[in-house]
Amino acid sequence: MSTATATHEEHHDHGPAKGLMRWITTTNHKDIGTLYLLFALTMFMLGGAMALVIRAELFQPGLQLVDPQFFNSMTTVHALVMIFGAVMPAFTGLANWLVPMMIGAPDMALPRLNNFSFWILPFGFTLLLSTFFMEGGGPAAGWTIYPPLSLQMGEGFPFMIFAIHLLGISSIMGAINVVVTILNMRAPGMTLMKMPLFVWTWLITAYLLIATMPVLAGAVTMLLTDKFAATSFFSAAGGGDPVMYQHIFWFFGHPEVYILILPAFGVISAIVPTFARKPLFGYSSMVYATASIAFLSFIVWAHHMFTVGMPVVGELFFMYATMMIAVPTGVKVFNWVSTMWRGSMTFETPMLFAIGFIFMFTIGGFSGLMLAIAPADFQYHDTYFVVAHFHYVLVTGAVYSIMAAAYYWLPKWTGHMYDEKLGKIHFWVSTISVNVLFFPQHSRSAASCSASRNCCSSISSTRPSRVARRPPTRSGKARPGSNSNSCPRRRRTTASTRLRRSSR
Amino acid sequence: MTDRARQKRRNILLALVLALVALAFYFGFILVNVQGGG
Repeated sequence: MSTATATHEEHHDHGPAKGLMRWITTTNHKDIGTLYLLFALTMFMLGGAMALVIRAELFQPGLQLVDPQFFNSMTTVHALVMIFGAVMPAFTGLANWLVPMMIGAPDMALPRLNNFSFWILPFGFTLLLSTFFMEGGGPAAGWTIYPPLSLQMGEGFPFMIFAIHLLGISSIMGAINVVVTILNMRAPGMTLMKMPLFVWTWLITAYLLIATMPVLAGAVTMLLTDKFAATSFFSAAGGGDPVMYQHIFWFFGHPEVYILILPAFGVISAIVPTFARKPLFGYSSMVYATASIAFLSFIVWAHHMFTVGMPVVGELFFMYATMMIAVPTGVKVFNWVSTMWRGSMTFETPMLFAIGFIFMFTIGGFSGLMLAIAPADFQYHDTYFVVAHFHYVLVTGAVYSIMAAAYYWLPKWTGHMYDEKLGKIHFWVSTISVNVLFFPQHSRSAASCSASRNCCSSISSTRPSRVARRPPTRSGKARPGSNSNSCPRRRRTTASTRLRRSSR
Repeated sequence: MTDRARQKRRNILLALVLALVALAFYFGFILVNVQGGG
């Protein structure tokens, strides 16, 4: 008998695989969470390197460090990498680590699907980044890939489309896993309204993912057939409508914004009560506010495209609907502040990042409200003000919450406490840097600078704005501001800037 | 059928329903645009 047992043990190695195979074949939610978080960190560095190229090129007007096409590729792929490669996988990693533990489940509901969801990601990004080495270069039409510009991309176009499909499939499978885990695997007694808010926000985020990622996949599939199968979904020459693409894209794109921020709300709702030493103020109102934000996110998409020429009724609807989102978001901010009110607060690194989040995300929220005002948006559209807005909500919002979460749960994950002094240095250096970087961008729109170039505004030069369309005065002289040469900065442009502009 | 097997079946069924919803959105949006002039 003992001989038989020894033989059995010699032939079978019980327990997880060793070495690289452990990580490739793992179905353990903690291992997969770690993989997601490490992948997100890698992509964060890559996207950050692309941001450095962008800032270096824009350091001084007229600089020509990189080719104009490559510069446009940098802005495009920086966005795709940060959204689909850094922030979304980071939150999926947090969900993998925390959701089963928070609801008392032994693992995610579909562990093999979980493994597959993760391992699609590196292949998707390899495909996306491989386009840089193809004829025509990487994608350069912005992360929105609007036609007809995006259809002019070179040989990398189908690879980019397939990469987006892969990233979408990965997200949908991850979301399905989260929903099934939360709905079917809760421990006895763990009713929905007893779940931690991080679980609630992820449940709602997962529904948003399932509803919107297929819409993006559909849009890019139609782009693909427009390019290669002679369809005309978005080609005006064939009876299609390029603006329809914008509607479809933003029907995905706006809920995507909330996919990036709702889990952050969950993280902050976990951290603030801990360091204020009080229970979260208004738990149920937080749940309903999250659900309201998710619902409203589906009926506001056209605020991204006020300038395409919608009927006034449409502009008013989307303006008021967008403003309504401020109500549930305000509920959340007031609840966090009320949680801190008269609490025995301490300011360890996770709490610093959480308070930084509340303060600076609110700045981004207010600039969002300014953008929601349709007539004002005609001036802000496609300017650096928008860039400042979404970096305040995504960097000092989403990324800050990820930093807060990493510091907060790192001791639980690793068994080691981080260095508090280094953590605080990290927070203050980050906070000073992001404000030096992004706050002045608000006023770059006052100087009429377009978001994608270091020259005078599209408002006064390339885009036929309302000012430019005004008829001349009776004497035949152009009205002030109606001539692109009226911009003083334009006269100061160098030959290389003009060359770059003409090449676009 | 054990509790574990029943749980597994419920998980797979719910996952299939959600996957069908995602596929419906995907093909639905393309079909609506085919009708609209694609």
